[in-house]
Parts: sequence; C-alpha cells; structure tokens
Amino acid sequence: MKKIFTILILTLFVLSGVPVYSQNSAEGTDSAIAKESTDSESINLNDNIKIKNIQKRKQENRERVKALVESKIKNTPAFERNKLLRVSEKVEGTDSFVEKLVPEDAEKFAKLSRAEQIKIIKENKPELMKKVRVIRVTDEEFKARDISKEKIKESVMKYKKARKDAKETRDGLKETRDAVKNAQTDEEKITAAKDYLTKMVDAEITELQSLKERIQSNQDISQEESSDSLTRIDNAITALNELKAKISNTATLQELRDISKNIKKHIMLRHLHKTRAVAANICNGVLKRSEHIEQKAEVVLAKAEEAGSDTTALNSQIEELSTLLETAKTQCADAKTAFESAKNTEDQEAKKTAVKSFIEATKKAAETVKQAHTKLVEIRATAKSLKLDVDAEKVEEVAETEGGENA
Amino acid sequence: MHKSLFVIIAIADLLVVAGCGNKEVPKTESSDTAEKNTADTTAPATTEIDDEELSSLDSSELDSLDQDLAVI
Repeated sequence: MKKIFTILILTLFVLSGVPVYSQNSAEGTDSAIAKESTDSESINLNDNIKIKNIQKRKQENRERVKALVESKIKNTPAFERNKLLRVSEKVEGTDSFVEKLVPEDAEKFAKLSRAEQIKIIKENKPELMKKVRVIRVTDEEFKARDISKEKIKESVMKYKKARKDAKETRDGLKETRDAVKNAQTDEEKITAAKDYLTKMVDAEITELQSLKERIQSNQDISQEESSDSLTRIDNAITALNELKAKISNTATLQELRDISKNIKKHIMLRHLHKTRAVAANICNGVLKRSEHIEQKAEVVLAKAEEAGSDTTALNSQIEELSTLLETAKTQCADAKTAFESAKNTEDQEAKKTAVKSFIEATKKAAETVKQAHTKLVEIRATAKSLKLDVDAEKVEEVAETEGGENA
Repeated sequence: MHKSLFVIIAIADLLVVAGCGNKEVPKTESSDTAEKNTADTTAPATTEIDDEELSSLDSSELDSLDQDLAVI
C-alpha cells in the first residue's frame, strides 16, 4: 500500500512539473524568435537607416511648416494649425506648398480637412485655393433650402407608401404580362397589351405624383434644381396621361410597341429623379454634416493633446474618417456627373447607361458615407473616454472646394 | 483515516494540475465595458442614411423593364 502512495505522490510531482516545463519551452521559443529577429535586424540595418532618414526629413518638414504657420496663420485656431502639422508629417513637400500660399489662402487651406489638404499638396496646385470658399456655419444641417422637418418627414412617408403601392401594382402585372405573352391571336394580344400598358402607366403616374412632393420637400435640393426637376416630372405625367388615352384608341400591335418605348422613357426619368432625391441627401446633407463633425473631432484632438492625454487612437480614427469622406466626395462627384449626363441625353440607350451609372455611383457613395458614420460613432466613443464631447464643440467656419456647394 | 485524507488531497491536487492546461484568458471587465460603451454611443441621426430609400435604388430594374416590354 505504501508503495502505491509513493508512486501516486511521484506521479503528482512529475505532473506538477509539466506546466513549468511548458513555460520554459515557450520562453525558449521566445528566445529563439528574439535571436532570429536580432539577425533580421542586422540584415535590415540599411532599411532602418533609411527609415530614420525619412523620419528626420519629416521632422524637419514639420519644423519648417511650424515656422510658416507661425508667420502666416498665427491667428487661426490651434486645432487648424495642429491639423496642418500632422499633414506635414504624412506628406513630403507640405512646407514648400504652404510657402507658396499667401496668408489669405493659407487660412483657407488650414480649414480644409486633412484628406483634402493631402490631395491638394500632392497635386501641387496652390492656385486651387482661389476656388476654395469659406462658409460661416449658421445652420449645422447644411441644407440647400428651408423646409420644415414635419414636411420632410411627411413627404418621405408618402413617397415610401406610393412606391410600395406602385411596386405591388407592378408585381401584380405578371399575370397580365403572361396574358399578352400567351395570346393566341393578334386581337387577343392587342386587348391584353392595352390592359398591361394602361396598368403600367397608372402605376407610373401614381409614383411620379408622389416623387414630385418628395423633391419639393427635399432640403438638400436647391430651389432652382427642384423647379427644373418638377417641370420635367410634370411633363412626364402629362405625356403619360396622353399615352394612356392613345392606348385605348390604338388598333395595332406596332402602335402599342411604339407607345411602350415612350413609356420606358418616362420610367427612366422616374428612376433618375428618384435616385437624385437620395443622392442629394447623401452628398449634400449627410456628407457635409459628417465633414463638419470631422472638424469638431479635430478640436477635441487638440484639446486632448493639450491635456496630455494619449491621442494615438483618436488621431488615427480622424485620419481614417477624413480619407473616407474624401473618397465619398469623389464618388458623389462621379454620381453628379452621371446625373447631368443622364438628364441631358436624348438617346435612350445612352440615357439608360447613364441612369444605371448614376444609381451605382450613388450606392457606392452611400456605402462609404455609412462607413464614415461608423467611424464617427467610434470617434465619439474615444472622445468620451477622454472625457470630451465631439458634438459639444463649436466650429463656426468651414472651407468648401469647388463644386461642393451642389454635389 | 489518515490514508483516506491523503487520497482525497492527492485527487484534489491532481485535478488542480490537470486544470493548468486550460490557458483560456477570461474576458476582463474592462473589455466588456469597452464593448458596452461603443454600443451605447449612438450618433445623431443627421449623419445616417435612410436604408429603405437606398435599397429602393436598383439599376437591374431597367434591364428587366426591357424584358417586360418585349412581350408586346
């Protein structure tokens, strides 16, 4: 019995040693890795020297920009000067670029976002600054015109309902379409096609009527653009009503085919203006409000730095946000170009291609703006952890690059 | 009596040793709090996009329109 206990105790003793051995083995592995990394360090010595030289150049660049900032824009807010210094750490040539700017343009330049500054420095076009305008922020909604919140909400709800009703009607057209397809005689086909096209026109008119209100009550569409769009939609409604009358008086299939081509033209117009209503909200409303919050986050960053907090996370989050918003701006510009092209093209196939491009560009911009929104949520959380509130900050002036006023 | 006690202690010790293999790091309170904070921090609606409106944009509808009208 005593022997059994002795064996048991010995077993326990051996097992107790296993974790210790494992730990030592792990340490051994760590040592091996450390040795290996020391070897590669010596191999990459030249790379390290290069990196150090780049860092040195960046530091010198920063110092020169600091001196330029002190001489040209010493009265601008601290967060704007800090932002410019951060950009100088990222992009070579910031010093020579800022040197070329007259104080008035340097002030405008300091108000741009980091990503915008980097883009302009890389393009090396100081003359672009003449086209940048500074806007005093009196309304953080950044709307193109004044429309009450209630009216906007009501028009959006009504349009959603109209769109749903129209979709149900269109989905219900499958049976009617099958009747056209399966008609045995021309007479049967004409009767079924008349029914099919009439129902299609009715659904179109219903949705266009509601889309008019959606555009009329869209705070992100200017009055001028809204009037132009409404005229086009009104013309489409009139034309569709005329087509409806024509359908009932038509006696041949060829005439009905011609009418269907006309209907298609107006359906494309509906897609075009429906997309514009959404694109304007994204590119004129949400995007500009996000850019404004980005500037507020820069203020928070400056305050946190002054307080001696660790700002590494906040700094990189703002940098990511800035890049996202700059990407979204480019996508919005693409969308606007496609919109203008689709609006002014008469050729129906070219129009269809342009409308499709417009839809796709708008969706891309929306995706990027959504990512920016997620980043904003992260920034707010980081600021909160530093006992700061992004939304409580005030930024009263923002700079806008050319074309930004009506994206 | 002594022997039984010794066996119990030995088994308990064995179980402790076996437990050493479990290297899973328990979730710290701070990481839980961080997740909660992020989830709690909701941004004002002004930087949000209406998903329903966005999903209504569908360029493929234009292609299916051609097919629909081709039945005539």
